[in-house]
Amino acid sequence: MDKNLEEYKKYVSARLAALTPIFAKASIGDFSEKLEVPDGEDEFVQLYAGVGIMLEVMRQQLTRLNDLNNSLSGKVEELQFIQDQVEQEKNLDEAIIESIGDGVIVTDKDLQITMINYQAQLLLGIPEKEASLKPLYSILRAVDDKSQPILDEKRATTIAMNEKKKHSINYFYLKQDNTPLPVSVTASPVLLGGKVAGVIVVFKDRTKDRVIEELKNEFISLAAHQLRSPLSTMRWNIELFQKQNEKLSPDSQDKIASVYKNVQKMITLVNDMLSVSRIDQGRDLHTIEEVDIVGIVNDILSENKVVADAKMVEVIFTPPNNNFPKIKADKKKLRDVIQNLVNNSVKFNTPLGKMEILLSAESDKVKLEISDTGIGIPAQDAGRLFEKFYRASNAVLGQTPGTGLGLFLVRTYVGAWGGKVWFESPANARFRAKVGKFDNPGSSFYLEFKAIKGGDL
Amino acid sequence: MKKILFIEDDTEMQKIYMQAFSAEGFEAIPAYTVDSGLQLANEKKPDLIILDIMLPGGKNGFDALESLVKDEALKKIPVLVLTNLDSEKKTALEIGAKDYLVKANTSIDQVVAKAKALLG
Repeated sequence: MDKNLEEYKKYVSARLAALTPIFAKASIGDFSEKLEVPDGEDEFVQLYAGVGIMLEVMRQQLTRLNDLNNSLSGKVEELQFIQDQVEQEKNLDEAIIESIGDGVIVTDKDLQITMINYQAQLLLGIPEKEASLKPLYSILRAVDDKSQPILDEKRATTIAMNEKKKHSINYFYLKQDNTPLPVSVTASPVLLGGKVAGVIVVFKDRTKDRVIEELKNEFISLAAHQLRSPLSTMRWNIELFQKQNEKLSPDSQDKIASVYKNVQKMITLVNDMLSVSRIDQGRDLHTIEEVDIVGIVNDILSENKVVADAKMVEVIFTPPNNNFPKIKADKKKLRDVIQNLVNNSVKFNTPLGKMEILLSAESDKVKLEISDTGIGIPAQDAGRLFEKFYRASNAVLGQTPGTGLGLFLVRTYVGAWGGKVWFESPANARFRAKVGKFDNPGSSFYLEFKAIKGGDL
Repeated sequence: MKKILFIEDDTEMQKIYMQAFSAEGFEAIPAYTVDSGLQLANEKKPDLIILDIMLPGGKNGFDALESLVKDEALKKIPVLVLTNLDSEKKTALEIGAKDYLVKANTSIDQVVAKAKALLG
């Protein structure tokens, strides 16, 4: 029996010896060794077959794992590449933002500062660590030229967020040491899927611009004043000449009248230039008083009668009744405002055209409407008509003279008295129905003021 | 004949004043500086002084105006400031000018009419 057992042990060892190198390799992860299944039908053949299948499965799994591993490391490389690119772009953006000459501040949707560039820190005198994550308006304190705080709803950032578009404005920021810094500010909303995700505020130091602006204004003011002397000499000499030479030939009369008209035009231009430079310098003082607008309209219409008659423009004005309300304005400037509108209505009208002035009072408001059968205002010019030096395209084409300052002055003055000015072109339906068919679109300008109630001044 | 003294450095303007005012029956007296103007005011005792502001010789129209209102013999003479500066009206009226006109914005007829009104 012992001998038999001994024999069997030897037999088993011999049969298993073939497996030893396979297991040794497998133990270090190498399943590549192929297993020869021996002939026969004993239990070892089954074991060999089982181990063979196991090895095959392991090999397949390993291949799959390898493939997966390869594709993953490809993805990782790809991600790394994208990350590097993003990093590079970010560095580039940061370098641009940092090296830019303008102050740049970025906020989240709650107006909390998420980034402030070097220039902004320098201009405001605030280090990054003190500004970071603070509410924007606690760092950017905006004031007007009289050091009065700008209301939140009037600030570029608020307007840009509410209107979801870029907004630019000029005012002052208070530096950390409370000295004012003149700035021009542009706020742009960051929109994600139509929603405001934050705001980018870019601001520029206007100190130098203001010095240049001041020099320019001084120059204009000086030049305009200097021009007035020769112009008044010319004006008066022509007036004396016309008086002393009543028997001039019609041709000579025409020529001298033309010279006189052009001298007057130059005087008007010089006056407009002076008004604008006064506004720009903040020296434009208004003497607010109780003004009778009906009287002013009457005066202006009689002064313009000659010009309107010459162009054969019919002026329609029915003065309102006697107790028409008065308004608060600067009398001389109100004259300029109405004169400007009347003059435009005649100047841009067509021969045999019509213009109408209408004064109306409703509740606490006084409204003046000037409608005409003139060339009208093209839609493309409507938004900029009241800007300084802006002239409508058809006014330039028609070579109608003008300085581009008239309506700028109108808006500035009327705004200073708390009034409103606006227009429509073509002229309003009521006027068009009244005057009948005209080829021109015409226009209607409106002025609106607060009426003075009894004893209110 | 009423006398009007013109303190004005521009000879072209002086010529115009002389013509326009003599045609209306006034005696027009020209002065080209503040000093000569004050001297002529003392000598001729004009009924009206028409005064420019920007004048040569270190003294301007305001200096002339101040000297005139301080002078017992001259302070009753009305002064009409006629200039091309339009921002000085308040100052001129405060010192004692009777009225203030901007040359370029006034016709010569209006200047004569204003002078007549001030002469009463």
